[in-house]
Amino acid sequence: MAQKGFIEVNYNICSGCRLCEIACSLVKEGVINPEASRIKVYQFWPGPIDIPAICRLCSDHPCIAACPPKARALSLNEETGAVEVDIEKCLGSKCSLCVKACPHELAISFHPQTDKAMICDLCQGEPECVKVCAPGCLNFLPGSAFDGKHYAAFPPKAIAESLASQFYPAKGAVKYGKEEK
Amino acid sequence: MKGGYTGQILHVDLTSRTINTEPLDPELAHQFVGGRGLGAKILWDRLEPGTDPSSPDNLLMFLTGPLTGVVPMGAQTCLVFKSPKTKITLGHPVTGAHWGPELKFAGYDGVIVSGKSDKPVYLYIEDGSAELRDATHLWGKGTTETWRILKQELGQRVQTMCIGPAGENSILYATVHSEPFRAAARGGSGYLMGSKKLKAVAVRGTGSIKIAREKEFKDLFSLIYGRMSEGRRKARHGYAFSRWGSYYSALSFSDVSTCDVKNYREGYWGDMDKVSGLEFEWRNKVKSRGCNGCPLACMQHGVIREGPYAGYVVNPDFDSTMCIGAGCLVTDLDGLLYLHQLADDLGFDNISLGNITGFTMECFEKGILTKNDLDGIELTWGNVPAMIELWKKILNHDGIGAVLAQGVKEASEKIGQGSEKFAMHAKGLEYGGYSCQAHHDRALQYAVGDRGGCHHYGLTWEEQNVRVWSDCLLMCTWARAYMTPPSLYIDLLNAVTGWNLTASDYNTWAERMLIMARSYNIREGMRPLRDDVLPDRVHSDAFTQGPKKGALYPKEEFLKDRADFYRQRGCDDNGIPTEQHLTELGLDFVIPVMRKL
Repeated sequence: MAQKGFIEVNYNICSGCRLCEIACSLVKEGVINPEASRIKVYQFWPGPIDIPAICRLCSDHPCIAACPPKARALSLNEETGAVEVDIEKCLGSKCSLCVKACPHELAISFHPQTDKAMICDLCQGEPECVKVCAPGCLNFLPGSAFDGKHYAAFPPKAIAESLASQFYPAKGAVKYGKEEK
Repeated sequence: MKGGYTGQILHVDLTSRTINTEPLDPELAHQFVGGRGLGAKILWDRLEPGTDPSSPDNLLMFLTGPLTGVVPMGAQTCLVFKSPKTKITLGHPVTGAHWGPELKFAGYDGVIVSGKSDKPVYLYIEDGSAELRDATHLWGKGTTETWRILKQELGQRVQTMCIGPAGENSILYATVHSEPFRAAARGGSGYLMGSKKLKAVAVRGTGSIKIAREKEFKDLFSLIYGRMSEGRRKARHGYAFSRWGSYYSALSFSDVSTCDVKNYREGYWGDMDKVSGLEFEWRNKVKSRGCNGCPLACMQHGVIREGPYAGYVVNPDFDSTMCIGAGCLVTDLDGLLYLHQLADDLGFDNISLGNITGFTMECFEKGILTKNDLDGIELTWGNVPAMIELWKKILNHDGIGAVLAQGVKEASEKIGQGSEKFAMHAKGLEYGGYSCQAHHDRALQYAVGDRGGCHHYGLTWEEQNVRVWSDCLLMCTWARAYMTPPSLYIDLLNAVTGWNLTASDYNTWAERMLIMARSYNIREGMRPLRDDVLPDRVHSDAFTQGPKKGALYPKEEFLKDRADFYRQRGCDDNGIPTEQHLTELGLDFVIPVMRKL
């Protein structure tokens, strides 16, 4: 059943297990390949702090606007509210205009074998990654009341830095970072 | 190969700087599966009998298994080599994090390293290709720092295995670390890697792992994941694990007198609550982290916010906590966490290091070692600053440190004066975090374990089989609570690889892999009756406190239990596998070697 919705990410509690990547690649590709997953978890220092990066569903769709007119590979699926990629038309990583336009920075990536853009399509309203998130970091909220562009404005690195200042003390006490200039 | 395996092994010779790829023999994989089992067979085939484990000829193998990166809790990598620590057994430490899966995505089931480089190098593997690179800028750096630099240089999603200064400085109980705080620790892995001048192995892979029977696999995946995530919420084990890590059991194990307290003198400690997981959670905890695909996430990150030990910390593993903490009577939680952090960063095996520190403290208490012998260190029980000083000495082989850097067996032989009685090791490998006077099955596993005195071998016949399967498939051994009946392992293996093993093969395969390792040890000079023994403390120093007060393990009882173990495992009275048993298991090639004994 296709439905609109939003994958809420509670960045505080991601354990970095990357089971979401395994589940995503298994359902989308039939093999296990985290690199071909539509959601990707990045590790940032200090910590390590793990930040899942996934399409935040901006209402103004800067990626669709950036897709060159000769390709027009990206379109909005009105039923689910997700951005869809027409892999026949996508020009691949040599174009990368959608990635550059994405305010969330790491939400769009390219397939390691086919080199076509990959964007989360919300699994028609039943996302597999949410089903395997044991800590409860990912939650699917049905409906479309929330505009993801407010989330998207914070790229993963900024989130990690913000969390680090909350988790770990500021200057002086951080022993293992002190060699950094 | 239809699924699970990539079918390729990378062979790196550091002396000639040559890198080859060889196919993984499907028949060999079918018989010995992967990891610990496959590694033992490769050692048997390729390493000359009697090779000096410190020599460049020794092989350092990083092996994955068919389930690595595929199933929930399948994050592991097994390192297999002839142990420089025991010199007569193999070593097969296991580590988690994301390295093993990444290696498979890069297209390899394992990496075999031989030879010795003349200058520090690291190995970089990326999608079916590999090269050796200069590691001068990494040499001398701690494990956390090395991980960070490599990630910065090579990219966010690169995974690394590396050694710390302990491995570089020829400490016999140095470790190999994947990610900060995850180590393949036991048996001298880091020493071997350091002796080869190999600082790190970095991997990046974007390939995929195929699944032979997708439908069947998805059903099993959901079943196992469902059990684990429910366990996380509802079962005591799973819940406690995801909240406090393996450390949760410190208090409950102390209550049944099975913790290493005061260099294994006691099993119960009244002060355990001062350094418990609860205390850690309230004071230090920040978040939980998990290995690849693990719904439980047992590693608890934290921070010490002020004081001399301020910095990042991790709520440590049970065994290392017992050895460094209760084993040395450390009641200062910040100090304990800092000690862990320090040992991890330097690349020490926390278990061995804690054991040796406890041993030295006991020598100091008894006057066998004086303040003079320790170059002025007042090594009283629980003295954290003194422990830090001692570790610096060990790291630099300075004074008493040169003796202690060899391990507790060698140290007690040098120090003498009756210290052998409380040098807690088997075959030269220091005990894990359990006292065993009151728990005889634990004592027995220390004595007969195939890599020396280790907590990882398994308490019962059934547990030993589960553990060896886990280490061959390379699923975390803690997954075993959710893998019932154990034939579930076989179902999972069949679905992933397309094989047709049956539930009755489960025990045969486990037995084959265990006897393979035992045979290898015997070929290399391990003599069961001489080496499967316990130190006198277990037989004579009864507990003086706690619920099991007065408990010990009389020698006659031990000898009887050991004989039973030999019989159960198809060995004769001398602990040597019988020819009939070897033939049943398909290990006929071992027979000629056993006949020569």
